[in-house]
Amino acid sequence: MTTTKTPTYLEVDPDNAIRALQGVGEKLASGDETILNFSRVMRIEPGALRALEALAQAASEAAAKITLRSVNVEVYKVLKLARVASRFSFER
Amino acid sequence: MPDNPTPLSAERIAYLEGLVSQARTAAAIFSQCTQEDVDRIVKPMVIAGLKQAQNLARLAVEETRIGVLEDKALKNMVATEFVYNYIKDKRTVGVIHEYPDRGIVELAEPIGVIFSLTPITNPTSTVLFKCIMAIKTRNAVIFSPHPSAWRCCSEAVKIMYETAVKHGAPEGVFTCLESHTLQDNAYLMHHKDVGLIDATGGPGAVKAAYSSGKPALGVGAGNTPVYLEKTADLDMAVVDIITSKTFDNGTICASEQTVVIDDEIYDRVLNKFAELGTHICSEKEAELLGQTVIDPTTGFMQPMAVGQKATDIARFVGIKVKPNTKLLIAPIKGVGREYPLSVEKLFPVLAVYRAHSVDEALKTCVDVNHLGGLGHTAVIFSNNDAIVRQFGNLINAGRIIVNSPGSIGALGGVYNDMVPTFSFGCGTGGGNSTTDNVNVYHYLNIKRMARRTPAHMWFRVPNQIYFNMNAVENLRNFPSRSTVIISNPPLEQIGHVDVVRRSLPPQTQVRVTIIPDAEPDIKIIAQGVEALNFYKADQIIALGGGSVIDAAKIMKLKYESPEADLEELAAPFLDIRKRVVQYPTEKVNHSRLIAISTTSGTGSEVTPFAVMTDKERGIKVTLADYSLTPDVAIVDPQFVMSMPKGLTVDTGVDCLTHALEAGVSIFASAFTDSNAMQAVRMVFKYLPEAYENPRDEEARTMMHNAACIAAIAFSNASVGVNHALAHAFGARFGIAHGRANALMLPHVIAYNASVPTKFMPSPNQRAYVAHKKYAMIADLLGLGGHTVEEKVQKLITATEQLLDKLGVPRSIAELGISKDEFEHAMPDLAKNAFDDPSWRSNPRMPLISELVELYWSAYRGRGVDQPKAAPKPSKVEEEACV
Repeated sequence: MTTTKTPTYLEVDPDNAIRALQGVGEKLASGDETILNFSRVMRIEPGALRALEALAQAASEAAAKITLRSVNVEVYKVLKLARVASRFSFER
Repeated sequence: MPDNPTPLSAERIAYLEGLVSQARTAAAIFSQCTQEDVDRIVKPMVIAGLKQAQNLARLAVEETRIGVLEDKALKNMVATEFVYNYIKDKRTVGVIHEYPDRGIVELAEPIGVIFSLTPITNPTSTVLFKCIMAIKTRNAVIFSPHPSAWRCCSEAVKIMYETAVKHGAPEGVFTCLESHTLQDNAYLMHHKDVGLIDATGGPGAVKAAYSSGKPALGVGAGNTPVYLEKTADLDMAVVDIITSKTFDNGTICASEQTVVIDDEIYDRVLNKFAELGTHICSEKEAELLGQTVIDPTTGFMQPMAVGQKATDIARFVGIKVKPNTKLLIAPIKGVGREYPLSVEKLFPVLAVYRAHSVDEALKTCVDVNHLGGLGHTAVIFSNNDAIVRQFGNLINAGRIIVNSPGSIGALGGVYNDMVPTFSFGCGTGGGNSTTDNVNVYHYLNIKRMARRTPAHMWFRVPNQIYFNMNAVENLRNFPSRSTVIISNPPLEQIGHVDVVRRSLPPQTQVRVTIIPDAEPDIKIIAQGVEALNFYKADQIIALGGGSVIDAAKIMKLKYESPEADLEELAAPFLDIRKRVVQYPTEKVNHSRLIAISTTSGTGSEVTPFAVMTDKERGIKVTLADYSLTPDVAIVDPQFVMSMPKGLTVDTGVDCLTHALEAGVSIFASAFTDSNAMQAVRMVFKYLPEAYENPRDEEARTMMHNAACIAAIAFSNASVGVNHALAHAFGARFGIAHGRANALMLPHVIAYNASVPTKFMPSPNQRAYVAHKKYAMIADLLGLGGHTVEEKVQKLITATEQLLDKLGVPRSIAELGISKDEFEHAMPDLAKNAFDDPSWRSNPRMPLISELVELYWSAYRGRGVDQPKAAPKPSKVEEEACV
């Protein structure tokens, strides 16, 4: 019998996105699933993009899953251009 | 920087990857900026560049030892202020242009990461220019300056970068490669995340950029010819050439290289040059100069001479010149490798050539142009506009500068209204992708959003149509000095020609030309035209069926426009409004064409079509143009009362086919539908009556009108695949047109009503509606049925029943054509039917295999298959059908 971890949900505050993303990265453990709600992020700043890149790296190393929820299409395009999008899962 | 043949180390690759990653991230972030955002960044960058113009010029001269500080400062100012003046109001984000009348919107998409090579000759100005363009277009740039100009360029990048970031540009938007090798450049040129290479520099850099397989703007060497023609303002020309060629010691690649001077002014021009501080070399000095500043092995200029002062070059070569000499002028006797000074010289040495004629001068300029200058720049000083234009046509150059300095003229915005630039596109002649002055639009992917535009439709009919019994009496309303009646023997024999003659105003001079009762050929047309010319006809009356009226249309065309080439006018076309061949509009004679139809089918009296036979070549020539449409149509049933039964059927079924095909045509409109539907209704009601009771005046009248009404519909909506099949089949087996149509008709209705294998492109239609149009016709005929499918089937059955009533053979087999014979003919039939233009307006695009299937269905005859399920109607479709 296997146990399934309950995903961690986190609302991403656009004014505090870098710190929030860094915090998620620091706490990742193997098998974790984290869902980040981006619904309030209308525009992504360079620091937040770098933090997302680092988070993707950390998740890959920890074999954890990060899902980005409700990503604005403009922000989604930035993630595609920066070649970060493929490193996350997305849900509506 | 020495070339490093060893592979890049892992550390070096990591460094380069870091640069690309940084630029990629910056470009991604930058993509979120608005037009206002970028404009807010660009302006302070321009101001920073202007403030640092002199400083950067000094750094450039100190580092490169090339050029003139003051001129370089000026170039930095042009690269900032002039470029800004050009771009400041340009939209480069989101919607950049809108063309509402064309339904086109252009949108900007940034490129992303640009890898940019900058030259030694114009180092800082090129960097300033490219930085401003990149920010204006939301791109990130990795700069790779010429190794001998790295410090000044990196300083220019730093100034631009700091200002840009301070005002909102993303970090990492500009980076400058540290000391680098050709391997570094190659690595970046091939990097998947580099979207564009912008290489301004020597041929090597440009070639490397284009060889990388990446989109590239490669802007390289030139060799600017100048033609100083005898009508030129010589004082202006001499000053302009000196200004240009000495500007930054001649380092701008658009500067003048060889001036070709007309013999008549040659000595005067050289004197003026001498008066203004240039040194005119003797033959020996010129030879010495050529041997020194041009590499005899490669034939190219010596790098050590680039951007040096004239006095320094003279001293180095061993030519004595006055201390303030600006320019060395070397007469040459020809152009090519044996005349070293005829190549590009990016220093103040100018070749001059004495030309003894305009022809010689132009040829010499062409020679210079082809000696390394293709696609770049050329200059002419002349007040003879014809020669200026001839020069423009002969010389392959992206910039042809007239009566102004080459270098500063080509930069744009100073002496002319060309786009200010520091990168000259040299077109294919120079191995480049553009001849433009490179500008912000080359740093963008321009997306064109094209909205569906409603097709322009038309509805054209003769000016006047007179119909019903004794309509011919209206002829008295058409005064004429000389009228020629064209008709055929049977109509003359039964007195129809006399009826027409009597209806004309009494004072009219009337002549009658009788032509054979058959499709006209070229000989008949020529005879008719001869008669029209002989009688100086101002009115032509065509009395007959389709053949006579078609003949009259072509006779009128040739009478009015004798030069009209019928073979050319018959060239195929897809859209009558976009056809290649235009019908003549200039006329030597003017005449009115009145068409009186004596059959109830072709409707030629109102159509813009005419068919003739070219017996010599054994082909039919179909002409189609609205100018062929008769001016007046008379639809008088008295001329059809005696029509034999067979002709009544053939022409009546032809009329029905016209109406049904126009009804479902992709060019159908509310205007044509109203005619097509009415004609179908009239044929179903009155054709059987006219067939059964030929003397029934009402039935004859209604069928005669129906033929004209159906023709009005198909004149504007055209016909379809039924006609294509019938034309090929009728021609092959000698079957009357109406009968051939009848054999195909039920099968074509079923075919068009089913789901198409291929849809026809039809901007006028909002959905596939053929099946619903047939259902609408079934409703109009009161055939019953609840669903579209049922109604279509009822229409097919009703059509079958109508054809039965008319005694039409119901299968090709019934005509006595054996299966083997038909099978043998099938390849030609299918090919000819597919070549027939009639189906181009059919709602379904027929595959050749489908044409074959249709032919076999017609061969077997009865038992038309149920149409395959047609698309379910949507709301839009229903609207389209209304």
